[in-house]
Amino acid sequence: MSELGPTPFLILAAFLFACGVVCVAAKRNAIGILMGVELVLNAANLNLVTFARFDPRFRLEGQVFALLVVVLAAAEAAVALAIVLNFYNTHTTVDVDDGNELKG
Amino acid sequence: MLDTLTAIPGRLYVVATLLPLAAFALLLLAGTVRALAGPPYRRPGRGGAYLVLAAMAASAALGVTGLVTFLNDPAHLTHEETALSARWSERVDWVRVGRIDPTIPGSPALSTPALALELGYRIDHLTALLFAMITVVGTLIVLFSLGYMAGETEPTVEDHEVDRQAHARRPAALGGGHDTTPPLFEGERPPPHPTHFHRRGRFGRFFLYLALFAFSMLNLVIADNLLQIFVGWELVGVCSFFLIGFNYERPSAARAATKAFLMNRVGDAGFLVAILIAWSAFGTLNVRDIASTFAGGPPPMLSYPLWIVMGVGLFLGCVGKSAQMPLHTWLPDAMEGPTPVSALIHAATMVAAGVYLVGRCYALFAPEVLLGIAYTGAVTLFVAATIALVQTDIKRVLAFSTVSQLGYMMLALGVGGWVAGLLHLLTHAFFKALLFLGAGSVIHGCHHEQDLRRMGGLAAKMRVTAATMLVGVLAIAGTPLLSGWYSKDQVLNAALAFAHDRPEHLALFVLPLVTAGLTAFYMARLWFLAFTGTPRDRHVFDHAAESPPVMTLPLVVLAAFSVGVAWGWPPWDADASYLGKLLHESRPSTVADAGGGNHLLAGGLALLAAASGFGFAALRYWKRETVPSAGPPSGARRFLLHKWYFDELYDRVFVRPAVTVSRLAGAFDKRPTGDAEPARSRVDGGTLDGWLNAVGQGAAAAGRSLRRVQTGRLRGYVLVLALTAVAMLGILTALAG
Amino acid sequence: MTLPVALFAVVATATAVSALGVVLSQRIVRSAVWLLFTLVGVAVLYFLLGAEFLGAAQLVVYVGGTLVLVVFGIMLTAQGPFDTLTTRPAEWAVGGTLGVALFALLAHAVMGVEAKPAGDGPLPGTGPLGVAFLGDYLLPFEIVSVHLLVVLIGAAYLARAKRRAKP
Repeated sequence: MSELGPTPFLILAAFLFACGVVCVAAKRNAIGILMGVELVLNAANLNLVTFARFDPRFRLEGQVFALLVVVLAAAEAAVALAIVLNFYNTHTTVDVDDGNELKG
Repeated sequence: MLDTLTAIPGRLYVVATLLPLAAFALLLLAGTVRALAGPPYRRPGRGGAYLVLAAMAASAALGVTGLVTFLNDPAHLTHEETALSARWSERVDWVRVGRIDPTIPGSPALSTPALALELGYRIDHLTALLFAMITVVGTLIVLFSLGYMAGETEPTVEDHEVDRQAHARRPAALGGGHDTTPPLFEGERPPPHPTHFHRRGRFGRFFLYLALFAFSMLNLVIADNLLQIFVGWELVGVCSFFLIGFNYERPSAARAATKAFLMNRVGDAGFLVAILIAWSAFGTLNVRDIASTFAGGPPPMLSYPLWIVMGVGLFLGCVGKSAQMPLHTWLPDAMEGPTPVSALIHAATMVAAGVYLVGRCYALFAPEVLLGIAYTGAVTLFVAATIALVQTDIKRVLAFSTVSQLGYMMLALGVGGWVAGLLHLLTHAFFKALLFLGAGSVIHGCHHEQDLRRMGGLAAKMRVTAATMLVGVLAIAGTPLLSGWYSKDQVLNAALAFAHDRPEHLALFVLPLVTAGLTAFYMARLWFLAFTGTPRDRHVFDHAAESPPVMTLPLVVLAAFSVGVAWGWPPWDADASYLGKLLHESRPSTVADAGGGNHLLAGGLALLAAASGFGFAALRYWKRETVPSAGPPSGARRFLLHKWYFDELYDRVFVRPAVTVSRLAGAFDKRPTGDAEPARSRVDGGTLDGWLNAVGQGAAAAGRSLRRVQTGRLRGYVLVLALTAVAMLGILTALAG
Repeated sequence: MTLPVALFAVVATATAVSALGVVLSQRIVRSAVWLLFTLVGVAVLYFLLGAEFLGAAQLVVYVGGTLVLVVFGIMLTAQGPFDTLTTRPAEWAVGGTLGVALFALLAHAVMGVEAKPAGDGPLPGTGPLGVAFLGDYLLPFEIVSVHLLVVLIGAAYLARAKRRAKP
């Protein structure tokens, strides 16, 4: 692994991150947006683990925070799905473009 | 309590000063409680008046006791200043400003005095005498008021004057200054239908004001620093305002009160400037401390121009308060107040406060300022006396006489006759209070008739009043052996001595000399017109009656004072006046001892002038049917009737421009249609409101356009968020690389 | 090319393609499947990096938990079997441009990261991680546990069956 260096991993994480942002920005389905968020979180996690591997200062900390992120991502997904269900109950759709009641 | 009073007898004066304040507070509290609790329009009680009378009497007793104690203080014999001031003065810090801590090493200001506003009192001969005079005269006037204001005890009082003024289409041609002024405000237009104005009796309120005034005046007199004097100064001013406007439903009274207040403000601005200069230059406002720095000429910390400005400012305050030229026009109008008020405030005490202040701060005046004071006094006394010659309102004659006599005092102070000026203050207080109360008695007896042209022959009906007023007239005219003679003689002597040393200022002697004759003339005229001859108005005469004893008793007492208050031994020597000798004790060190001049010459000339004036008046008015100003006045007479056109001048120069500017300023906010929509008046739309509206409308427009950004579209927000992140990242990258 | 490098190349490519699939799929169920592959790929990358416990956790929590949750959400909200909500091309263009720009910037930043001398041996395993969570990181650990409880209650409250509001 050491001959590879951190850069390819980081590039991949950046790609995942960009994909997640585009997903959030482009999907109209609320659950699609949720998936985009998962992608973004995974990209961040990949960064953390990469640095845990390639920087001796973060061998433990990188993993610890990655684990915390995994747990929080799961929690976030649960809450987000609850909200989506609520949204669906009130709007009978999951199209976030319909949720513009707070328009100025 | 008694021990402290014997140890520090000066506290007698503090107690005496606070007594009227206590009465005032009690009355105010009681009145408030009654107004809140009781049913409206109850009959006003007399209890408050008795309370004030008791407080004033106690103050007078304390004042006289204090005077006697002070004069017998053994420290006088040895001239121990420190012992004297320890017993007769105290001062406490009131507000500390910029406390200097000497424990801090290297504190920069150790050399400058610690800055503190102080409360304190200091009793010297002048204060003690004035205090006794104020309390005694005040007590007598309160007693007199019990009778004079008796009409105010009714539950409802009908004020004919209000209706008369409201329905006067044209201002009276020969009335007071207030009558010649056209209505300035729309509210003063007469109501369409005649009404009979009724109001509640204000017996208690009158005495409430009197109590507050007494406290303020006494505080002014015993104060040892300029700030405390200023506080008292303003308080007496506001009391004067309240009392002039006592019948505030009358437009003339309301306007006179406002006029007095405003003209006093002009002077007070100068006073305030002087206080600030004194504070910045000396770091203290204590009069004695400041004066002591002048012991050897002007002190180094005060530049000469600043010294002049301070003196002029101080004097300007006195000009306003003592109704000197050119701020004298408020005092005649102040006669709108009830007559006891005129006697107490506008003759005996408050208007003398200006003279008192000049005397108190005598060392602070540069020689040029003193000369200005002398000339101001000289011009004032002459002008006011000439106006008094033709007045037909009994109170206005006395008002102009007061202005004239105050001019005498100022003149005396200005020419270095410190003792003469203040002696005249004391004697004048007694006989002018007497004259005013006498006039009040006449007015009361004639059912509020004040016009001399409708009186005459009243001596038969009002013997006590006539006799006592004659004493007053003789005293003010300068009849030998009466109190006015001693003081006026000294004033003229001082003026003559001054003119003798500096012949170019001869006018300073000639004017008062001539005026002495005029004084005798107009006072005799007043007395003859009112009390002798045949009654000119049968209705008034028939209903005239002597006033009750509660009013004549003060007259008699004051007459006794007017005769003998300045006596000394031998009585025929004007310089031997005991009162003058006492005043001499507290004269400032800068005053040269009285001397020079030719006493016999001054006294003789004055006597000659007074006698001729008196004789001329007797010839003209005694037992004659001469009714003054029957036909249309002409020439000099009209000039005097219009009081040298001062009111008209001020009206043109100050009042009308101010009203015009106010109207213009008011137009900014006026909306022609009066509806709530943002209508535009001529000035409104473009200028002031235009700017304000532009700001408001700009904010609203910005809000409207910004609200389009709030689309409510979630993904749009995310896009913007991402865009921001990209932009920030790009900026960071650009900066790093 | 050593075995790890080859493995990384294969897995990274697969992950990247799956991620693209998540973004580009018109149907939400397919997106979910692509997401499954992405998550598995990331887990494999964790294994490659030597973080075995984390890889396992990723598989268990993400693939086994979160993804199932997402699929349940799709099931509960889908009105038809192949429901699509199409996005307008303009929005795709804007989003895509933004994504490309973001990726470029991030890649540029990543290029500046110099390689540190890699630590010897595999990353600390479950033992040190467990000690760390009950030692230095006890407070975050407890906070996360409380947080999970809050989420449990909150999600249950939000998603409970309610009378549908009148449209």
